[in-house]
Amino acid sequence: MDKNPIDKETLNHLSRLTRIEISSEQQAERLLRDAENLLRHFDELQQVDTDNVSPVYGGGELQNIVREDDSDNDLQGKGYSDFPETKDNYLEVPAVREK
Amino acid sequence: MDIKDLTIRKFKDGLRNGDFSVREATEEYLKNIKENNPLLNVYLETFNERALEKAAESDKKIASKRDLGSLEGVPMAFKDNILIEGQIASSGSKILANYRAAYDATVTKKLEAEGVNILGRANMDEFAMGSSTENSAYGVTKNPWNLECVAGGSSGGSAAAVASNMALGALGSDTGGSIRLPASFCGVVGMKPTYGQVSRFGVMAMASSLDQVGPFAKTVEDAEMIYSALRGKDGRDSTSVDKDVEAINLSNPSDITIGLPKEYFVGGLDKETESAIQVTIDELKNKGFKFKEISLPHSKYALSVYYIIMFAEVSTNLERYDGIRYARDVEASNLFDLYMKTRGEGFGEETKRRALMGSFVLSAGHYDAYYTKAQKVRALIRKDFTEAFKEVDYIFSPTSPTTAFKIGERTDDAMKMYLSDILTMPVNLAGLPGIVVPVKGRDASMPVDFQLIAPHFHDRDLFALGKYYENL
Repeated sequence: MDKNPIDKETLNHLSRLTRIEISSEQQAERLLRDAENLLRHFDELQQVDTDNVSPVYGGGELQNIVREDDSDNDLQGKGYSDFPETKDNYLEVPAVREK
Repeated sequence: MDIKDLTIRKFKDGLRNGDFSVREATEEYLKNIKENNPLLNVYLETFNERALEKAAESDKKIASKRDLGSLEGVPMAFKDNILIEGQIASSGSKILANYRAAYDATVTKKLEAEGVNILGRANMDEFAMGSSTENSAYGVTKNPWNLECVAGGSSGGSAAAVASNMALGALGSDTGGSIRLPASFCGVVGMKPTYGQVSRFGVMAMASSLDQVGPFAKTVEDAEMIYSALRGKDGRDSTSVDKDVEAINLSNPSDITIGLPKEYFVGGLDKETESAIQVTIDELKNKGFKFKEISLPHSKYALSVYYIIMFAEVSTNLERYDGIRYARDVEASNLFDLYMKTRGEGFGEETKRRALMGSFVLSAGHYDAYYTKAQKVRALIRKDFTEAFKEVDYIFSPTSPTTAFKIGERTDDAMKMYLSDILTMPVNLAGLPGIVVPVKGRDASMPVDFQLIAPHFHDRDLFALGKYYENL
């Protein structure tokens, strides 16, 4: 790996993608430095021969699960209390676009 | 009563003999917490009133001898990422400082049904991301053995609660070692069940293909009692399974072969750890257990594989903390700014690092080079274990290369911190069960736990082996 694949511009792009503001110039520098170290380390995986290996997804031997289509009502409506601002059981959010 | 010598077993005996009431015991624990929590920062909050009410209910049940649970009145600490209806659950994060759980996690329901008395919320690294509890937005948890050292993480509060007699047992979650590492640093028993043994419904997800909930306790027997109440299939977590394999009979230890992975013993172990581990091996050999060197050839790639997969899953799981649901503290004129500010101010730096790195390894141009490659090497790591378990019955190793490190020692280098979990994370990548048990009879300053790993669903063998060792 010749150069850090995460440069300042990429970091800003990732920050917007993940909707996470980076607090300061110093924080950006620390994140860039650690990203470089980590990605350099991750490069070791390229040495592993995985030509005939299928990737695994998930943590166990997942099986398809079916059940009757009945409702389990003891949680119904409880999510409203998670909403910071509500109006008649609707979730209130700021405007998507500025007025 | 002296809570220092108490175990869950002795607590149950004491209640049965009428030596004390649940209320008296609960008051003793709350008193100890009041005295020592300011020093150690184990609990983020205690539920004093609720705990005393629950204690009174338990005493009533005991008096009438009706509806007694298997853990009636047992005072426990729950990691702050486990939902308890009506209580704050912050996951060690500022972003959830005011979030109150709307429902109980399945593990909360199950343990309360067995009579467990939850004393409070235990401190943790933010969203369970860390190896030292230094990433908590609410300050570090100190190690009860040495206040200058970390308690380990991410379930540092849970481990320290048991070690400092602020609870008889605790719950934590383990994604790459977050139960086993702090248990070892604090000298208590910690256990990570087989993936699927315990429901994660109502436990805040960190990396969903790796997370499991498990117990902390002072003895292996106690840990098994908690585990037995925790495990089982739950319709609300479709990764949970119903498979409870009976424990192995240890009447003839010479029938048992234990593997020592050579990759786990090369370099990097500190002297205290190395000698404690060797003493344990010799002790078990004397009882007839056979030990055999084995190889887990892809171990050296576990750190890269673990971090790539975990970053990816973390970045996805953290999307829900958006300032729209759960909490809102910032003012913004439009939705985009609200997201940016809420998450920018609410997440700590390690959480940001993992979410940013996660979206990087998942992004179109890098997905195959990092994410798919890691999932392929993960398959090889699993295969290493499958092959090893054809040769040996169990695998034995240290829990971490070192004993508890000093507060601040590893905070300015992410990679250095990540290496703390090098001997525990392969177990999560393979979905296996692992237990850590304190090495006995050491007069050294800091505790060391050994780790035992079993094949899938042989969780109860680990308890059997741990109890055998404790009774030697």
